[in-house]
Amino acid sequence: MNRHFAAPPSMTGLYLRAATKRGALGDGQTIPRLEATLDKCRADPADLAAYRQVCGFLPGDHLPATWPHVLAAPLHLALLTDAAFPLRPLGIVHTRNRITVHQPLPVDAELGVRCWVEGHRQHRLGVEFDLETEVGLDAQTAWSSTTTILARTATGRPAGPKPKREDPPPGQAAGLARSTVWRLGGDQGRRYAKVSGDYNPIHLYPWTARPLGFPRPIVHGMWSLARCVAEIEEDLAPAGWTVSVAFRKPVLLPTPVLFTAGHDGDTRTFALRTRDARKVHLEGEVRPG
Amino acid sequence: MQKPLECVPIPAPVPAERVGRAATFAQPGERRSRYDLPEYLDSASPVGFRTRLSLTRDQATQALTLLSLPRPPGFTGPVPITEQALFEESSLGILTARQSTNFRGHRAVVLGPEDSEQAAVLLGQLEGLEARAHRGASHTQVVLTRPYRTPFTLLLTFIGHKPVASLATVPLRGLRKRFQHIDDIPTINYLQHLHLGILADQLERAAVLASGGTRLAQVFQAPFCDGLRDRNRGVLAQLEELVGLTQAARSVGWRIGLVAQVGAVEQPLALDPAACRRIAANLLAFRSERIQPGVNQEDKAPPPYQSRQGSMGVPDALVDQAGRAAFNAFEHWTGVDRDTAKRLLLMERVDVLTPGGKERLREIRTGLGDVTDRVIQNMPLWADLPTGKAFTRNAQRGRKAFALAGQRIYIGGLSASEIRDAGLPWELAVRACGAGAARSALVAELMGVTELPDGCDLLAGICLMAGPVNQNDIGKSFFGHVDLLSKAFPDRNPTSLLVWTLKAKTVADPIGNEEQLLNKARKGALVDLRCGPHEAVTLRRDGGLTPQRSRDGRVNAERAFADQGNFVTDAQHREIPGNRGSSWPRVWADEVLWEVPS
Repeated sequence: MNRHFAAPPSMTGLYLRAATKRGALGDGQTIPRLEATLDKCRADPADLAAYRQVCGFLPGDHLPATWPHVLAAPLHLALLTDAAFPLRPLGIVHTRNRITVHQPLPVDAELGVRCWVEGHRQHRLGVEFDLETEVGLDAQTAWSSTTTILARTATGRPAGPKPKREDPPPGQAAGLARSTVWRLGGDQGRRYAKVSGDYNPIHLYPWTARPLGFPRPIVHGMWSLARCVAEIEEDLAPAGWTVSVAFRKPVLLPTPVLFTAGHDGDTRTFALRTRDARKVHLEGEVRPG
Repeated sequence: MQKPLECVPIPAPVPAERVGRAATFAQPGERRSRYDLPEYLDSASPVGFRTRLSLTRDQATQALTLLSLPRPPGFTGPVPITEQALFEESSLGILTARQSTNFRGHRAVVLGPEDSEQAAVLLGQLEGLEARAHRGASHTQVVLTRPYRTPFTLLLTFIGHKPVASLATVPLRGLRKRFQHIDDIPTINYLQHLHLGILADQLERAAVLASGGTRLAQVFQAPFCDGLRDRNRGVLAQLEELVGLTQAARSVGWRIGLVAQVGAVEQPLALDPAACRRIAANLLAFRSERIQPGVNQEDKAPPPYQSRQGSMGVPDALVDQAGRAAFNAFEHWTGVDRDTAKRLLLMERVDVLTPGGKERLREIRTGLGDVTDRVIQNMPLWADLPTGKAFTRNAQRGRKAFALAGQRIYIGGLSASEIRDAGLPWELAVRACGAGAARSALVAELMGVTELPDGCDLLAGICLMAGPVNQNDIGKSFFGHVDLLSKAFPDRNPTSLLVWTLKAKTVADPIGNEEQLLNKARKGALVDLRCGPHEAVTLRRDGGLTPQRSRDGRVNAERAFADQGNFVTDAQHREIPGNRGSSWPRVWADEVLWEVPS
């Protein structure tokens, strides 16, 4: 199945469908290849400025590395709510992400977006699948991303007990280039929802998050990633690198979080932790290529 | 004429006797004590938890030149100032000047070259200006100041009243304090000026260090003191308007306290830029750590705190240099000659390690303890009981704050009548006394890191405090006590202003003042004094006022001179989360703040 869009599909209708859609993988069943494309789109300067402000990106001539995800979000939702997609979208969890910036994307460039999903992997808590995204500029792939999602409601069987982690020693490792505390307000999820269009109820209010299993709203994984990349953006080349991130533990709002960044040769590492550094919310790295 | 200072390194303890703090983090489940490293740091301050860096003799000698800086003869004309340069200057100046632990009494408005020209014209019209106001400043720091107000000054409102009359005299004194800014005891008013003097001294060094010796500061204080302030009222109103001082701020006591013109000079000081950064990082460390007395530690302190590192003495020549620095500062800020400075600045030295010194210290402690007893005994019950005896508890806590510990204790002060006879404004003399104490302390602190061997935190350091003086002042004002300096200067009607204690060959406390100030969750936590730049510094640009390092929703997280890497760690080199900070975006830091007129 391949769906073409001339303009981004309306998120409102897609959210309604997501809220009501049911589904699960049957034995021997997998996710079929589903594809969606958006032929031409541009970043709206006002939207982009608001996005930069919320995520901490500096003004510049190129799109922030995480911005194309906002462009692709309606397509992602269109795929996940497609009748042929066998899983229930509500309750899925974003666990990892990998973004490659092949070439810088000028802020006024006309871009094409292509997304697809196909197949799955078993996970201890359900099934995992990848949502692939490519952004084209002048018929070349300029940006690509793999979003890994865990569907906890699927028919996946536990593949073993949760691995035990040892308590880390107090303090943090030496040799970091940055270590700073960010204070995230209770409205952080709503602020990002406004600029990204991702109004998933788990990010908005305690009363919308609670029915979905969270005592308080949680911050968007993509905001966390964007904010981390924004903090180190000046250390990165305009293109030619891949950022990979694993989301370990949701960030319940409001809260202070500790951002740390360092480097190991050509690889830049970063993490978001609890303020005392004892628990990890997110870990990531940026590698050339 | 200020005298140059000489480098007098302090002999290090023999290797077997060296002791470092060996700070550790509390382990999971372990109850934290004041001897553990903090769990995290969440602050916009440029300071953080820093450690002292060893200086070579050459670096130390360069640092000492900063303690006898001349006034700039003139400026060559405005030079472009980057945002980063001004941040570093602010970090060494207003953001780290010594103040009492729970008092935020300074703000600065920084003017660009064009506004600086206007300010220079206004300064030139002021009566009592200490030196010529130069044209061609690159920027001008206008420091605003307010009266000293803390929980301690609230407590003072209730002290020294008669039993029944207190129902009327307490509110009366409270109202006078709030609306007329009249203090309960004179030394509270002096605190404001001591702090300003210390800041003035620090601003001179900050301008030099932040520019690697290419810029100097021309600092003015006299026109903002005593009667001169009244006589300059008209011009000051124009200056206040230029820096946007509102009527609301004036009503709570904010006034212009001093003005520092900063500009490039024809003959830059011969300083190595790399040495400047190392010295600067050390200056932040001096303001970050609390040093321990090395003697009389509490029993629960870890073993390193209990160890004496051989002889705890320091060379007499160092004491001479510290005195020279104090007289340099007094002379510099009052404009009197050296002999007059030596005559006017009163200093008593108590050598605690000698029998006579021990006796004198005991005498001082007994006197201060007696004042505390009287304060508690006479506290109006109608105020104390409804607050759960909060005032009494506050007074009790003072006993610890006023405790004096160290190898040498200095008491500094002035004689009001002698200052008047010398034709000096009293407030200016008080400021000069503060500057003298701080500069003298800096000699000890710099020598305390000169050729600092591995395994030692410091070879000497200074605690500067006004608490004992304030307590003594309560005794003088209400209970018939004599001044702390009366014994040393019986015929000169002295007023003690500051006490500083020298501590040698000891360890640095991992949770110094900084932790006390920054961690509100800590029991007995005080107000966060180490403010971020956006809280204390405002830049006047394009006719508007903008806070320093607050932009697009971000505030400063950078620790100044972080490239020097002097961050507190445990023995395994693990760091305090959040302590290292995160640098301000380079694209913003490299911006030139004001166009330089051609």
